Amino acid sequence: MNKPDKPCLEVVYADPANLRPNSWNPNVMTDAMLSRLRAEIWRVGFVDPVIALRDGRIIDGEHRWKIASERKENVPVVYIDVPEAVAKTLTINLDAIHGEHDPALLVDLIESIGFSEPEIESVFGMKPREVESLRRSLVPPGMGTPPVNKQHTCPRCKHRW
Amino acid sequence: MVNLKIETVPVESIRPTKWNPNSLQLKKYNHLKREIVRVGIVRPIITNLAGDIINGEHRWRAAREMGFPEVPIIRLDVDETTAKTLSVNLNAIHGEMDHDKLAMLVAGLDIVFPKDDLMEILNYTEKDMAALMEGTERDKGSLAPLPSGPKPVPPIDEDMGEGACQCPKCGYKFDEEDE
Repeated sequence: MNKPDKPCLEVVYADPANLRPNSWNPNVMTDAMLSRLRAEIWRVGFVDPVIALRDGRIIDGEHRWKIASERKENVPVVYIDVPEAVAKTLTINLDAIHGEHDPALLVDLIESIGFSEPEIESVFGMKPREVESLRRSLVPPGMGTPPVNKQHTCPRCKHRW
Repeated sequence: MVNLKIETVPVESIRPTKWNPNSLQLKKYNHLKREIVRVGIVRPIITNLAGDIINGEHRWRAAREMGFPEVPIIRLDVDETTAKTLSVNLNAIHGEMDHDKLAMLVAGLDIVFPKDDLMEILNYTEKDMAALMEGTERDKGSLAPLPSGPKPVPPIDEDMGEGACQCPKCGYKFDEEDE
């Protein structure tokens, strides 16, 4: 594995009934996001294992577990042996350490796939106008499609937009 | 989809893609490196069969930079389109931290870990910590109630102008003819 003193990670398929949410999870998901996650799991299955303590308390992946419970389907789990306090810090950090999409790369990627608008909406949850506004935000001023609104200059602070 | 399996592979046997749209701030990347030293990689990197990274490029970069010989990966048998969609969605579909729940959790951990250690683990500054704790304790009523008495009078607004346009920077309102 990655550290000599850590055992190898292993994926086990567990009955969701043998897992349970922990008592401390600060992560909440909107209904819209939960629906996207549900659709994604229908589309590609579980590709990212839940991380849990040996006693079945979930460290990361409570919402994936919830969907597995609904589907009455075994869920991939990586069990790790850490003290409860470390598990709590992992719950926070696994959530907090994530990147952001670079708009230019995201637009390029979506365009390179060649999906139709309904496909983009169903797979990425993005409406055509959201993709369009993302694309528009990348056009340097004075190039490409002219902006819909005219340019303004604030008479007071001289800010231009 | 087929059963997932974790393999431990040499760091140099997998690679990032050209199209990964995910970027990580340096501050978070440094936090990730410390986290990997502390607990190892507990979330496997996801790749396609050829070893192109679908999710976990920064875990891979961090491990490589720190000289880890091997990393845990899950290989998926997916075509390029599916790999691309997964790259986006594995990042985009996530929840948010509930402020009060997070504050309670951190307050509980503050008893277990020395404060400096906890701030290091969570990558919090003194200011982050204070901001997290302040609102919540007051909401829960565990601190003295806010001082009562007359509400502070907001400062009298300076002239904010009038008109259909508003400057997004200073908030001044004006008509287009005034530009």
